[in-house]
Amino acid sequence: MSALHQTISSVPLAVVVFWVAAVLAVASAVLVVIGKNPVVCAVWLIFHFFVLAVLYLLLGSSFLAAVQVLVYAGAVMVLFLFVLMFLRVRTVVLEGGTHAFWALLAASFVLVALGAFAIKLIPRVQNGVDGCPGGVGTLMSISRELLSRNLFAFELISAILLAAVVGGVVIAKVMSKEGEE
Amino acid sequence: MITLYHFLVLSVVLFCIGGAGVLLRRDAVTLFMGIELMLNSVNLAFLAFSRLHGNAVGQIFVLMVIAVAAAEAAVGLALIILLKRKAGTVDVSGIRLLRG
Repeated sequence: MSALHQTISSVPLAVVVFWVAAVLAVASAVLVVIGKNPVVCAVWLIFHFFVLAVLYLLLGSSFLAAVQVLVYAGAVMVLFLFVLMFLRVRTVVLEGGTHAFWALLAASFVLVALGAFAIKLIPRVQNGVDGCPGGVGTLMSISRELLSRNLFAFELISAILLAAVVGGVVIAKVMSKEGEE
Repeated sequence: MITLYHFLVLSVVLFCIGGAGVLLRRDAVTLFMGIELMLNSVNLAFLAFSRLHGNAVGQIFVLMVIAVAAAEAAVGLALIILLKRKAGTVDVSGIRLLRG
């Protein structure tokens, strides 16, 4: 049996939760893309992040499910909504005409290519993988991994976040200078 | 019964919806939302593989992706505000600032 078809969960409740979450995730993602009002899009995106947190929980990643809700549904989306309110974007902004056709064509090509990859290629390269031991998503195992072998990446992330903060301040300063002129 | 296959296909579908969003939308803010959708679908694939292999490195990588996405959103949205000030619009198809 290939690794691809190894059971992640066969608990009946988990199966039901997966299908409900999968349908909700796809539906809310579509609503984000086709929505006419950007604020409504943002609210659907928040819903999408919550559904993804449920899927993370299903995969046993309890810590990242919490991070998903805190960072994405909390901090990042507040930033998005703040900017939307600030800019007062209300226009209908779907691309029309031939451009939409080409965009959808490109997206469906990617869908077919990646789908073929997921179906065909992965069982070939992933054969002979051991089963799915649980408990890798707990705070303890993540922090043990993060603060030992991946300490450099962890520190590097802090540098990136610092750079983002400085960048935001610099951009804001340019803005206020131009406002004075 | 749920397998890795289910999670991978869901991840691919979400990635393509996000990609279609990036291609279809013209205002910079919802274009950013499409990018966030794509990033999150990749996170889902990472976590599915991490669970399959029983390896926590996938979880670490998702943590890094979330941190970088937060930084990207902060800088990107600041740039969008600046763009609104400079060009008077956030419609990316109508911006010709770099043309000189």
